[in-house]
Amino acid sequence: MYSRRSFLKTTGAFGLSAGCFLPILSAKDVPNLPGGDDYKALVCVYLHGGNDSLNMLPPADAANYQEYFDVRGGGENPEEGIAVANTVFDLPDLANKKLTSSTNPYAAEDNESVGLKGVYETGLGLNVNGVMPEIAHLIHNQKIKIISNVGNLVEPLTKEDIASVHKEKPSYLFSHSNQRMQVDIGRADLDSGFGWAGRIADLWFGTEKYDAFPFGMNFSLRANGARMLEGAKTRPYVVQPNPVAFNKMKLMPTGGTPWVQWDENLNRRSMYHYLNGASPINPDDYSYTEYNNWKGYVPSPLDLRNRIPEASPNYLKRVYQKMGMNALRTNDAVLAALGEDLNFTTTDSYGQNLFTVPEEEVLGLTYNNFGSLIQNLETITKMMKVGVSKGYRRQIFLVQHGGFDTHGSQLEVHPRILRELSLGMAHFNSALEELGLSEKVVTYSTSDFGRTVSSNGDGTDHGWGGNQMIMGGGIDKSEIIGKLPSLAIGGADDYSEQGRIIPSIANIQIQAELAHWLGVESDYLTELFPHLPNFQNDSSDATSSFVNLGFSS
Amino acid sequence: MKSSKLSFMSLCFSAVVFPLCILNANSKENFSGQDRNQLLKMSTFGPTAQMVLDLNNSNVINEIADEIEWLDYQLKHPSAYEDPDDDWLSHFQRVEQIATTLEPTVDFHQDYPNEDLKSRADGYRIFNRFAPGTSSYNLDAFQMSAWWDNALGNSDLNSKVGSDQLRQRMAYALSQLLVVSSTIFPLNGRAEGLAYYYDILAENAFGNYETLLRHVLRSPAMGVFLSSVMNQKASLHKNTRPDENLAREFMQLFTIGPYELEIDGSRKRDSDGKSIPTYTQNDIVEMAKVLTGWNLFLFPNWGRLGKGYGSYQHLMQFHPEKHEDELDEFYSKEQDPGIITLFKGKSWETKLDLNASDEMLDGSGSATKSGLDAAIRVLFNHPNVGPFVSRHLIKHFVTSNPTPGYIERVATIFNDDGSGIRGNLKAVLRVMLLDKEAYNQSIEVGGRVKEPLLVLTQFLRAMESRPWPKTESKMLLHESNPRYLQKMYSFRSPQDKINQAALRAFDVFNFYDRDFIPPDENVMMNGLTSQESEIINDNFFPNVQNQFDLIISNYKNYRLKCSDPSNLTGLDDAPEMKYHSPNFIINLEKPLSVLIKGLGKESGFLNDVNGSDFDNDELFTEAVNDLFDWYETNLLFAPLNPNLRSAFIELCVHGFDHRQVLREEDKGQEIALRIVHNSLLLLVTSPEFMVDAGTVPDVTPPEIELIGASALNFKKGDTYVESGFKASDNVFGDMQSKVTITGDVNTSKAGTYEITYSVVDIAGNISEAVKRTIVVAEEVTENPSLYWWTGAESIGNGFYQNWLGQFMPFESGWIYHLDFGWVYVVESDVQGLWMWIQDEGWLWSSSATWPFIWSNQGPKWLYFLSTEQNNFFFDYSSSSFRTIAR
Repeated sequence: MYSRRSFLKTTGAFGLSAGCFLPILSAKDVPNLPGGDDYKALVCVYLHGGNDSLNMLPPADAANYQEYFDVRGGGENPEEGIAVANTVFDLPDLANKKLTSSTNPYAAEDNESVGLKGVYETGLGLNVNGVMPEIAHLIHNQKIKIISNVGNLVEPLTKEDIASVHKEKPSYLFSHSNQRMQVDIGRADLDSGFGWAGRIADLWFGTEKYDAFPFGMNFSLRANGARMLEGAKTRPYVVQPNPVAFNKMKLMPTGGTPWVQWDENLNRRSMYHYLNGASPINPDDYSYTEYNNWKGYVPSPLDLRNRIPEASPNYLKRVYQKMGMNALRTNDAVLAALGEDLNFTTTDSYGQNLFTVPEEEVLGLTYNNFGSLIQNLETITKMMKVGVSKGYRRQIFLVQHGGFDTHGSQLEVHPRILRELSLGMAHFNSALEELGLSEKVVTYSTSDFGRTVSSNGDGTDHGWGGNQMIMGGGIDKSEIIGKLPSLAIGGADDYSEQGRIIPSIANIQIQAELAHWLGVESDYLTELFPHLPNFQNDSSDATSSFVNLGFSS
Repeated sequence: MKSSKLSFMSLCFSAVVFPLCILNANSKENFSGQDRNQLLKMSTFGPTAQMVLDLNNSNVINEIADEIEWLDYQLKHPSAYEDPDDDWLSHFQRVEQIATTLEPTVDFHQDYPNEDLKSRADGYRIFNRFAPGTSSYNLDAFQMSAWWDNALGNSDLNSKVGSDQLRQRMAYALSQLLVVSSTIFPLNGRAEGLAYYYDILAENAFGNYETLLRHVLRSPAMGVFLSSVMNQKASLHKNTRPDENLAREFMQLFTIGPYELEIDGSRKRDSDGKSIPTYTQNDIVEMAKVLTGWNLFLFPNWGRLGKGYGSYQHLMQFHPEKHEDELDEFYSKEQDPGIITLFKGKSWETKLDLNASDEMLDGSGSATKSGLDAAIRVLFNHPNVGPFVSRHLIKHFVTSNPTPGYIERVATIFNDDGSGIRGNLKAVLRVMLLDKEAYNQSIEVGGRVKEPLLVLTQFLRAMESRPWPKTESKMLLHESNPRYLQKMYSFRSPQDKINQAALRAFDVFNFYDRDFIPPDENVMMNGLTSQESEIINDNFFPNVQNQFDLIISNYKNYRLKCSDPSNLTGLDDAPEMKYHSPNFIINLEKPLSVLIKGLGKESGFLNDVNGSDFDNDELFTEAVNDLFDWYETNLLFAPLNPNLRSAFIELCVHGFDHRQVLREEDKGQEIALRIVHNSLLLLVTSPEFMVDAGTVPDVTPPEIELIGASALNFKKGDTYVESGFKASDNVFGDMQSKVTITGDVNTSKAGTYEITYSVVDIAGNISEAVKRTIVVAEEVTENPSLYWWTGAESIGNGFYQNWLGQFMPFESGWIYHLDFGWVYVVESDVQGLWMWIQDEGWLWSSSATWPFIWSNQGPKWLYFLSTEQNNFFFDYSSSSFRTIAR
């Protein structure tokens, strides 16, 4: 007698879960866990909406700059141009924290000119926009690598390949949701899937030193848009800068006069557990009856142990129940983690404490909504400190910095978010150096796509390749990785006629190298990024797809 | 091997199955009490006991169910839009009213400061021109307040606002499809534009979708939000071309979506199984040309947007000279200037004149020729629109996981309401809300996680909330400004606390991904989606609980300090509330009264109850029982799980420490308040209230259908090949993977064999067993089948090598495998092999799946790993390696 089952032939969640529990391919280390006692963290700064990296890092070389200006200069109406002027500013003395609103080079009469006024030279093929002196400073100090012309690709493409049916282009090019998805799942041919960082967490889940109880390995600073960190088994912990306690619910034995309220709080907590289908608490673990005897009457801890907790038969409700219990577990820990003040001696460009959000007068820029990136990076620093102190081995953070979809009002909006990006990266770097973590943390930027070289009059539209920055990990020096493309409309690197530049480096090449730095073995990289072999020089060696970011370990 | 893994992985990442079948088809005619509650929940921001009462007492006696009549009345219900001059204000009018009430000295309709601008404004004085002296950055608070008025009702204002619940609910649903948000400058300051936009949605909620689209694409809020305002024709000299933002999102998010759909919402597939894109980048470029030439009405020039110019309360104005005509040198290669092509290459390819006459007037009241309405018509008529819009509405109103049949039934009405009209939203709502599937959601996989905002509105409506009359106004700069907000709800930024708020999404993609799947095994295995779950995360829980606690505490801390709490009057000694606090004041009089009466105090008044009234355990328990009866009838509108209910009662009677009360005369009141506060808070933040589970247990077993004959003949010695089967369940859909097959077929021995197929659904219903009879005979006039290893490479000495490894086949199905030893092999239907290995039992694999192996023991997956020293199976069920004995 035998029994058999048949299989789902095509899609099916069964395939979904099974296929994503892939083990390593080499037998030597079981399972695939980074060796050693070190701590490493990866921080992804997601520039939400598609960053116009051409105005962030304008070309330095005269011929390249001319190409850029020809397209963006506004032609016969220079006042309508959106090109950054080639005026070179002296880099302010940031080392001595001397930037003030009167000495900042980008100050301008009207808001719209601030982002176009000029640049800092770097000695590399790209300059830095005048609103980002901190980035220029970091580049001068050999701390930032620029990845030129990187974007989503399935396989390398030239302009001729675009028309060919034999070459696979990313699906749904220029669509936010699809391009974003492809950045998050590590492949440019599908429109849904698990995040690549989520799958790393799945891979290491349950192993010693991964199990970063109660949070897990991955952290997002926002509730949605965190697909990169969502795996089949694991979900990121969503952390806010100012988390709220469950204190109003009075579920914890804290506050008030102990012997009067604590048992009551435990009773409420028991009920909370029970409602969420979780095992009731054991009152004996929390007995405060020695205090209660003083007053005589003791409300007996509500003993729900005889009640069998019921996970709801409804699947969605059950998910909700689990989340409710998880929130309770993590609440204490996150309050403790974020409650502690970080006291740094280093100060920022304005001589203020690190992670202070500068006022408008100090910045010389008006803004509405400024500072969430800076606050989020501070939160990340705190969670890192906790991670290190608890012996967590790996942490991956995603922070989203918003508003880059500058179809319109680019000149009003872009300089402000670039300014905040510059300040944020600088504060973060200083903090990490002071904590001794700067070699253990890699911070990198990524985005949906770059933007069109050409303007629509008030801004730019969705492009493809763009420039990104990488900091930390003990990189050896500042440089530009990759070639600078032609920016001519309809030129050698233009997808078509609007200046959407075909990337020369694929996002997955960078992501794979970062994953490898974190400790994912090279044999597994192709499981994470199935199209990686298309970028390998040596088909048997995944690391041959790397651009060589120069990390120290 | 690598490529097979890749294809396996790509299978893993492909689209999700729509698993559900319906229990009943078509429209509902009769309603139980539970059905009635469901209808009220779906059609409003929260049922109230009064509504249920009114429905029950409906006097009309005819053959049509009261519930259907109620729904039809809602669909004809008067609104603020019939008479702009009455006291039933639209969202925009209410924003104006609040602004002018709170700052009576400010002239919100100031003239422009200089003559040139003034003359261009043509005498019209725009509201909130952000002129100096106005505190315009507070208008978003007023717009949110107007939203609360319409969601909750505001009896302090009048009895009409908020009475058109279904209309307002539909506007809210539409605001998540046609998304506009305050996150784009300067909409947070010019928030009257958000209110004006919301009025467009509400006014057209029961109208036609095409009309709605025409308004939306001309609206100033959408124009700013998706940067189509001041979008102008291409210019080679300036090197600019039309902005594509609105063009893209109009197609991707407002009408057709990125993939071609069947009418049941499932994706169409090409011959390779891939989705078929609906539009190309070229379509967007063409569409962008149509959307040129529009600017805010009364905008002084064509330049930078700024915050002080233009009207956000008129549709945009068209400027033909800025409209694309393809005559600029930029289009030197253009064949046919002035004509664009949409959907080139598709069967619905359409050429449009960029100067086609529009059917609607623009914001200045002029007739226009922009091609806009013609382009809208092309998109509107695309077959995707019906299922695209229907699916969105069902997910918002009814369930996260509609069956394809449900989507199809609603989309069919979208396509034609029965009288030849396409896009009739009233008809769509009606068919959706009366479909039986809305009332037969399965306990296991039905329902949805409630949107946090709807949880809040349901609670506030059930508890008869009103705004606190002594809420401080923020606008206190001038002496003559009123100190307090006037009859005004104040909860400005719900998105900060509960992760969503109307017109406050982070971007045009709304609060959550429509197809979000929470990472949970059962959810994933059944292909369920739950969009709301994406914004429910760890910090949501303490946030939402603290908000509810605050609101419930307001009763004691504010309402009870009035001399007449019942009517919320006599506020002289009552405290003031800060402007930034949510100022909802609920009414706990009824639940308190029920509890107190249950203790034997007939008046039910708080003043009449003493501490000693709670001493009798039995009476106390009875009273709390009554309280929970009240909750079921007035808040949950559903019965509470009896185990949870009894635990709650235990908590209330024995769980709280009443020694904290300082004064004996307060003791009774304090205890009563504490009981109600705690039970209400825990109840309303529990999964029972936060999640709408289904109510219908599934009692229908699944069905199996054989592919191929149910009686087959095989020749002795041939290999038996399973010809396949299908299995489906009324609730859980496709069950094929879960079928169990039992029975022997030994083709080496003549005889008659029987194979039995059966399957059990998740609810435990077992199918009727289906059998296939196999007759094995000496001779049969059929072609002998090939041995399964044909195609393997012979490597001498009788050995073969293929994906399975190296082996030597023997007779009657046995092979000797170099890694596994003796293995009995039977070919299976999906081009795979069943292998019986001692100590392992039955294993299955195929060339596409190897080295992943399915083990019947468990069942579970295994992964085969071979090294020099040993062979291993990685066992997924225990997440561990084990050596294979050879």
